[in-house]
Amino acid sequence: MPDNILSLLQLTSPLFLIKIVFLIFLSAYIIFSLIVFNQVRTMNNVISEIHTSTTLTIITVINIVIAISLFLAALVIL
Amino acid sequence: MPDIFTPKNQTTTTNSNTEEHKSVNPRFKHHHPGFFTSFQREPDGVNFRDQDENEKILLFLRAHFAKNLSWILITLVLLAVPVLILFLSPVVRIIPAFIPENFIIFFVVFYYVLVFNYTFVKFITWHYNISLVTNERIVDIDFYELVYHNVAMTKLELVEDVSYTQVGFFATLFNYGDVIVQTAGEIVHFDFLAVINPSRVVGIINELIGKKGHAR
Repeated sequence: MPDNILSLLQLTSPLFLIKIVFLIFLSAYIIFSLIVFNQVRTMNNVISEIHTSTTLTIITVINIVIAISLFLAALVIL
Repeated sequence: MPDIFTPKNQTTTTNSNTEEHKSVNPRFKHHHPGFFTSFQREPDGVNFRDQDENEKILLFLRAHFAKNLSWILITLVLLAVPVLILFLSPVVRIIPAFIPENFIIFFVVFYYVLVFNYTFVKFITWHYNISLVTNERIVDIDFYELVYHNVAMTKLELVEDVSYTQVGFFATLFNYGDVIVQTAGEIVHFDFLAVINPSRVVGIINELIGKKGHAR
């Protein structure tokens, strides 16, 4: 069977479709984590607490890193 | 036998020891609100936007932590779902056979990340809903699940009436209630929802209004 047809068949396989769905959801998650970071930063500008504000910002940054890592991992591993 | 006479210099030494103790002991030194603080008088290390140079925060309020119990329970259930599926999978076929293991692992990781985000958003929604009473005004910060935030302020001079309502079993059990501040300003009333010890909050605000009233 020619290579072109094989690659087309691969595109229609359920696993490939699941991968695409995963990547769409992970892209949405990256955007969501950026919104969370932005909102936490905005709220820290409105009210700042000496200990908690920094910790919450760090948590949101880690969340962004996890979101990007998951997206890249899904792209490579799945 | 009790001492009837105490030399003056000895009393002074005791007082200075107490002062020294206050300055050394962190219990007396810092009142930083933590992650789960719901009620703090004269908090240290808290600042808000538009705070005046001489303005001092007298009361820092959040809703009682008991208000978080519902989403904490939901989180616990959500955390248990993959474990339940794992236990049930030998009995009932939930996951289709054609899906490889790496997809399943990836899905579980993503699921737990989503649960974490749900918990985090719920937590910050509670955390950033803050009410402040300063020596000049009342500040109400509302934050609702990333989509809405609002900061309202009113001068203490404009406060007309303060009252509270405590309704329900949990409110009575945990001693929390809604404090309503009526004002003569643009915003007619300020609601401090589910704050701990509402009668004390009302007392403090009333005391401040009295002071301000005398100053006028």
